[in-house]
Amino acid sequence: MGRLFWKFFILVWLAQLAVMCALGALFWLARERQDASAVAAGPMATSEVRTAALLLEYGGTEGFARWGRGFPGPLVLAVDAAGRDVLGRPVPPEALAQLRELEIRYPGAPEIRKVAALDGAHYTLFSLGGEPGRGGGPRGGPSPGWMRGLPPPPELAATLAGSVLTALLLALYVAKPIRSLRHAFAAAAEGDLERRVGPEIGARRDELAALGRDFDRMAERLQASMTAQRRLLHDVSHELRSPLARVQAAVGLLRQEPERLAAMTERIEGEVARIDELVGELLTLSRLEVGELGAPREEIDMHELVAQVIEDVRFEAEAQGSEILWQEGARAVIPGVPRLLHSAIENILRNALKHAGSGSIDVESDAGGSPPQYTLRVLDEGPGLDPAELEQVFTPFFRGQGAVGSGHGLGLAIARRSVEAHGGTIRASNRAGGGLSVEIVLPARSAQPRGGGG
Amino acid sequence: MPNILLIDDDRDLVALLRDYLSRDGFTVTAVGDGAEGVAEALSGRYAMAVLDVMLPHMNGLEVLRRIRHESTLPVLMLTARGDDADCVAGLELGADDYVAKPCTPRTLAARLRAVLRRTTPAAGERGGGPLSCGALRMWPQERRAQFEGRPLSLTSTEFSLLELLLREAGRPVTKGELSEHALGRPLGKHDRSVDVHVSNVRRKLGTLADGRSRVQTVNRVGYQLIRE
Repeated sequence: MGRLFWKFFILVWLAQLAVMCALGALFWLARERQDASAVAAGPMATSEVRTAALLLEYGGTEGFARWGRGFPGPLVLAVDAAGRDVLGRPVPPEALAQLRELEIRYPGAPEIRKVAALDGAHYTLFSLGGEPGRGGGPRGGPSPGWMRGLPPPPELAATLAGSVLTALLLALYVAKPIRSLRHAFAAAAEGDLERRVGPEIGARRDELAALGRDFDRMAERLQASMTAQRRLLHDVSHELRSPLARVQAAVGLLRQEPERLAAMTERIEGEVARIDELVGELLTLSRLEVGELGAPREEIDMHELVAQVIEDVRFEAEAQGSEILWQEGARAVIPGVPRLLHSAIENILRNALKHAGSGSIDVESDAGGSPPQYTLRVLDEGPGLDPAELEQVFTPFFRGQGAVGSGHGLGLAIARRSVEAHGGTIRASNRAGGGLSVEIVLPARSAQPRGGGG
Repeated sequence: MPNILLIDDDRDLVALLRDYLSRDGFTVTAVGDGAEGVAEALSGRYAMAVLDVMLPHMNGLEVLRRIRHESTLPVLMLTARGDDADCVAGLELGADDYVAKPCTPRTLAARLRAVLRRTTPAAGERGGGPLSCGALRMWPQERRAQFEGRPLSLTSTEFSLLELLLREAGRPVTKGELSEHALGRPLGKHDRSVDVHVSNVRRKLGTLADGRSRVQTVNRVGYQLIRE
């Protein structure tokens, strides 16, 4: 058990003890007050009152007063009809009221006596003190006065045990989830993100449980992102290794046949360029990964941007006998980073070009809806993808079954990161008539229906 | 000229390696796909296969499992440098050795030769007669072994390891000697190849009546075949 548990336990227990003591004191005080101001009953009181009555009757006020001073017994009062004590001592009004009531309800009760004193005045005598049947009354009881009002030892022990138990349970209730959280945090700090506190918390619903669930969510996200990072790193190293292996093979061949210098040098240059390109793409990807949206956002006119991308790619398309056809619907303005959106759309277009062969590529764009959205679709007439690969096509270094050409498999991954960084979505699907369709949907600032020509 | 099967999906690299190895005295056939690789490897036309671990569609380890299911053809794995898990997994599945990629073609050729030399021992190398110890009998000339009267299927590396242990039965053999003899290279730092091969051999030989392995580890020295 940790410090917190003990602190909590001791605090709760002390609080309980304090409450118990306060309550006990209250009861005791109430009893004391009642004792001091009530008409005493029981055999002791009866005998006291009888003695006092005899003294007052035959010894007069003098004798009664002397007896009263003689020993420190209970106070026996003798009140006249007006409620004044014969010796002028104070009479608690509660006692007087009780006396009057008793006289009416139990006429002739042995604890109350009426006598005619020597001077002929009538007095009612009674003793002030404890309740009937409570341990022998005020004089010579079995326990000292300060203990009256406290329960006897077995009950006291049970109460104490109960308070310890509840304090313990309460402390456990608070300390346990904190302890399991602490262990989970320690494990996470050691790099073990497998650990979850959910099962230990169970169905509990309070702030501690919420904290635990938040921790679980955090661990899950961290784990997912670390797994992704690790996979990316693994893929990157493999991807870098392939051109390096070719460089090494080329160098080996060059040593073996120095006369192939020109061919091998060209080869090595090509591979080095490839490595350079890969590193560049990786940097783009990692910048997107950390969210390079610190870059200033601009109002991007999508018509201009798409037109520019198509213009850039058109030359290569024509070179392989393909053409790009753009069907434009409503136009839109999007808040974003132009460079990122440009590379996203260019990558999608280049990917289509790679698979299109000499077939044409259709670009469809439209905007509308509320809130306004901009939709861009790039459709090719290539072989399409295996349905199982449609989702994977956006993961870094993915290459489809019919992988062709020299790509690294980073283009569409970059496109996805960039679209998602703009709050949009990207989706790949197979066209009914064959070929792949890649669709991006971006939240737009405004959409205008296409005016006039354009 | 030894016929080598190269299973790797990197066409450019394969072309370069083929050029190099051909000039170095090998005949090279290359395939870029795992399934095709298995079929070729089992065709019986090759003296040895070089297998890349990272293959599309069918993982190189799976290709190796399928080859080993039916054949003891010597296999050299090409693994990613630093990926020890792949190396150990490959050796456990019965690869004869591995080379970390990227490697120089010279290293690759040297490894190929080392494995091939063991597979086809020069005539007159060591005593030719059958060796035996307990229920184990080996015919080094024929690369054939028997255990408890049944033929024992061993990869070329496992055969060489066991042959050396059998020749020295009852005496410990160091890991260095085992590496030189069976892998044709000195024992590297942190190199677990010998241990993995020995554990494969142990599995194939079963245990003694008292539950002990027939091949005992001799702490800080190496291994020893128990003389029954």
